[in-house]
Amino acid sequence: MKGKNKTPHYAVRLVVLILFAGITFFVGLRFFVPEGSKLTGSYDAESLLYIASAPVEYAGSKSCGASSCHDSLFKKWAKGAHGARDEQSKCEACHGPQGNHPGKIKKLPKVRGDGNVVELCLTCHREMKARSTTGQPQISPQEHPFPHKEVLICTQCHDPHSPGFDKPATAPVGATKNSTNNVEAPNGMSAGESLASSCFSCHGPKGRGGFAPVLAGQPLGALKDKLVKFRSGELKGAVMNPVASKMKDKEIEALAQYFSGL
Amino acid sequence: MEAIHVTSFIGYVYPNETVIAWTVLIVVYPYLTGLVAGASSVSVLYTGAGLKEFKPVSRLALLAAFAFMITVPIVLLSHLGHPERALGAMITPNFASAFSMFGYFAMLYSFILFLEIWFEFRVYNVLQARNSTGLKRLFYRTLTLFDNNISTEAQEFDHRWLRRIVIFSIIGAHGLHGYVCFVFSSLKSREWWSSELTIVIFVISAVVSGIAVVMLMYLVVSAFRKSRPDEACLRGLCFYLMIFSIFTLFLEGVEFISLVYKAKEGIELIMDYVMGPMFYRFFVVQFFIGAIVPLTILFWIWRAKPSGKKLIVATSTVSVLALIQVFMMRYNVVIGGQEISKTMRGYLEYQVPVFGLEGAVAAIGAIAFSLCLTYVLVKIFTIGFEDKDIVDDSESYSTDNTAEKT
Amino acid sequence: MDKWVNFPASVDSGDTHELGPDELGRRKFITQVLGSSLMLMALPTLASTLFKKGMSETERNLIKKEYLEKYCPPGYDPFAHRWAYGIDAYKCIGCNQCMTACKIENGLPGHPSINNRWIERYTKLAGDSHVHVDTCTDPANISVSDPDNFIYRFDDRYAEADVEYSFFVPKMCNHCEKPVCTQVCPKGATFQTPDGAVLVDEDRCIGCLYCKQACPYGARYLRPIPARADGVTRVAGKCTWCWHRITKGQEPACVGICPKKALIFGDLNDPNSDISLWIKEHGRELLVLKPDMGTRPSVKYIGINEEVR
Repeated sequence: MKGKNKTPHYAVRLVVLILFAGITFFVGLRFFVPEGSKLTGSYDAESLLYIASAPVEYAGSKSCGASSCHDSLFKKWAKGAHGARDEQSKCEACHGPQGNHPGKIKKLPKVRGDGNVVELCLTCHREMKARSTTGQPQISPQEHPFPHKEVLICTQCHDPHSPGFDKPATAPVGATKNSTNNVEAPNGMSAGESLASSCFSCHGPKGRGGFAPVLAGQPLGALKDKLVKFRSGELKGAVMNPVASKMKDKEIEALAQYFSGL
Repeated sequence: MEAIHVTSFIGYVYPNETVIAWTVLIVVYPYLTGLVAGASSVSVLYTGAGLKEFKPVSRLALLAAFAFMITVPIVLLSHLGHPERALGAMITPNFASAFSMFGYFAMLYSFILFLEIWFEFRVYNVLQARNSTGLKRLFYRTLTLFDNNISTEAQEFDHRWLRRIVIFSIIGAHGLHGYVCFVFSSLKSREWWSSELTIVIFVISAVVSGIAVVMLMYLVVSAFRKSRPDEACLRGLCFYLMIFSIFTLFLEGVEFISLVYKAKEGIELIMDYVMGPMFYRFFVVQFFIGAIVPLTILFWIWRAKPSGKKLIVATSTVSVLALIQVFMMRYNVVIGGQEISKTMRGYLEYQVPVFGLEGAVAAIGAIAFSLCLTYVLVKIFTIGFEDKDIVDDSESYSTDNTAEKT
Repeated sequence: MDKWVNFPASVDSGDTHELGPDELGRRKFITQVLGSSLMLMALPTLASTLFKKGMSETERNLIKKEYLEKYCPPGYDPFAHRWAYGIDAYKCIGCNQCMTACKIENGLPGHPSINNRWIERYTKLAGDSHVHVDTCTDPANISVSDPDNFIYRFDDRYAEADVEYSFFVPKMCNHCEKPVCTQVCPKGATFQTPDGAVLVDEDRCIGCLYCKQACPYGARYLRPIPARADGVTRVAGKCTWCWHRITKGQEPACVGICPKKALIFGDLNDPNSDISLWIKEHGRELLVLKPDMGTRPSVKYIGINEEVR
């Protein structure tokens, strides 16, 4: 019976079609194998170059000190409690990523996130049961011995670049209540200059820029306008609102004149 | 940025786990491969094992299996982050992966299934080509590879080859479905999936769902055509459905009991989870409504041998419930496995969204699509001809053939 | 009889062929199915023994050379390094600076459910039978955090409680020596470099997330936003140990930012690297997560207890 059967035409055509389609498909697939995969036998080695080419966002503290721009601050930090220990609190931990900052001079370092300085400090310094008790001071915001009744910003008493407990870097603005009526300054200093000393902890010495914006050399009108707006609450700033709310018109005038004249 | 669907959780889960990776489309995927395996098993009862009572549903089952098989890659691809790159898995397959061969296996099996259909319906396609004109004729002529030989010798040739293909088709169907299950059970990171029994349960419950879906299709078609379904066939299907349902229930029970009895790390969590958010899905829907109730009805059909309307109502109820059971089982495996956290300290509570690619509508759409496809395939291949239409026309064939050549 | 319903059965011209309802045909069929499946199962073993080819030393060196010249970042030899990572849970203060730095460095969204790394807090209260664990996805922690600005905090929920012990554990991709994720990736889009880092090829990943399922540590996710300007979405993402930094000689962003030196990174091949010294110092306390998974993690811990998963 088997010898009698001839293979029908359709069967021959079917086999030819299958062979053709199969060979085309599998040979075709070979053409799409990436060069990098041929080498490794599995993954495309070319991706290594792509992955390695990703931009670096965090430059590291050393690069801040390497250039002359932040020389003084860096030295201060390196000697202080945040930088002198083996466990360093890095620049970019508070200022945010600055890998791109050197290229763009205008974008100056400021505090990361929403600018809430107290919460920033408490990120590491809040007393918590799970936190190790050695190392950084543990602070309970409710029990922290405030020298004044008002809620203050940590940086008003502690220099963030070289923090210490005993000597407040500058007298907080709220504490100068008695002298605020008297705009005349002692020792031949201008009224603005004596007031401005409390700004330096954030805005840098002589307002040349700290982690808060540069004030020195800004236009008089702009400075005044900003302060008035901070005072009224029109402009929002976790630090500047409480500071400006206690200022008098005369003080604003004096401060603005001082900084614009630098 | 696209929306991130965060799932609520109880206890402790890894943060990244709160975004469920495999959603309801991946539930449909093993469900469909199960239907493929099941439907081709039904078809094989006649074409392979030669059980005559299953003749009326044999071809319907075959076409249904093919329709489901076409839907499987569509479902899988639409779930991928980058479906356009999927071919790459075939270009540079990573042989260590339990998933890399799926493309090849699915292709191979679809091809075997198509070959089976091609041989099964070749004679009918030749007849269709003869009786039609224009584009339709061209379509059927192409399908028959421009050869209208339906001589007795050719038909015998078809049958010899069909028998050989059927063997590989049934191996392929269950192999593919078992392989899909291995994709889940080979992961050591999830306790709920990594049981060795899972593959056996999947394959056996696949037969349950296949029998149920073919039976339901047969009943629906009969209802539309206002004709009586063949009762011997229905009873036969019910018998096999009962056997396989008992097996499924038994194995699932064994798996669950051994999980509880072994009481490895995290068993408290699993018990909390199974008794909590999974209780209705697992015990009520899957076990009681989906398994116990249909088994009772099936037992009644087997012993009491009802006929007429009673039988039709009973079988349609049973098939719907069995389909729900198997779907719920796939859901409880795929989603349930991801809801139990890898931390073994908490679980998630996933809510299937209604709309969207990951939603219930998309899943129902995929299943509806496969049913429509079955209808289309049935229309293409079988409509209009009966066995009696086939006559040996070797004489006319030889003249036709010479006419073609000249 | 309706034509549509009664599907025409196979052509039955008598019972000349083997398609009979007889017992013999059925038995034969079952034997054939079983026999063929056994043969098919034997095929892969046969094929693997036939096609397994060894590679000579010179061939291997040639490939290595081409690999180094063509595909490695200039000046970086992945064969010369074997990176490892140490986590000192005694020192971690849960400030989440590492998480912030990581997200910004690697272009992740601020959303707390998409992380390369995160910190967990394990707390055992006096009289409780189990530990409480919370992390960045905990609603109470989200409420004191600011995910839009990449700021994550732990709330002080145990201030008044009677705490038996409590500690923080940073978690990340373990860059296993035997990674499960690279094993399951269907197309080799995730892979292990010779220096031990497990990376993802964004250009080839199909986004099936099989790797996310396979990872016992929950370290993977689907990228909702591109990692960089020319990146793509909907691919698997994970920690790369900042491969773009370590190939330039820098340390990973998380290690660089940690204010407590709780994270240690270095080259095991260099006996004077931070990690080698650290391992030498703490060798007897070193632990890895889920050792029973057989993944052999490259991230080692000290200061964790048996509750940590």
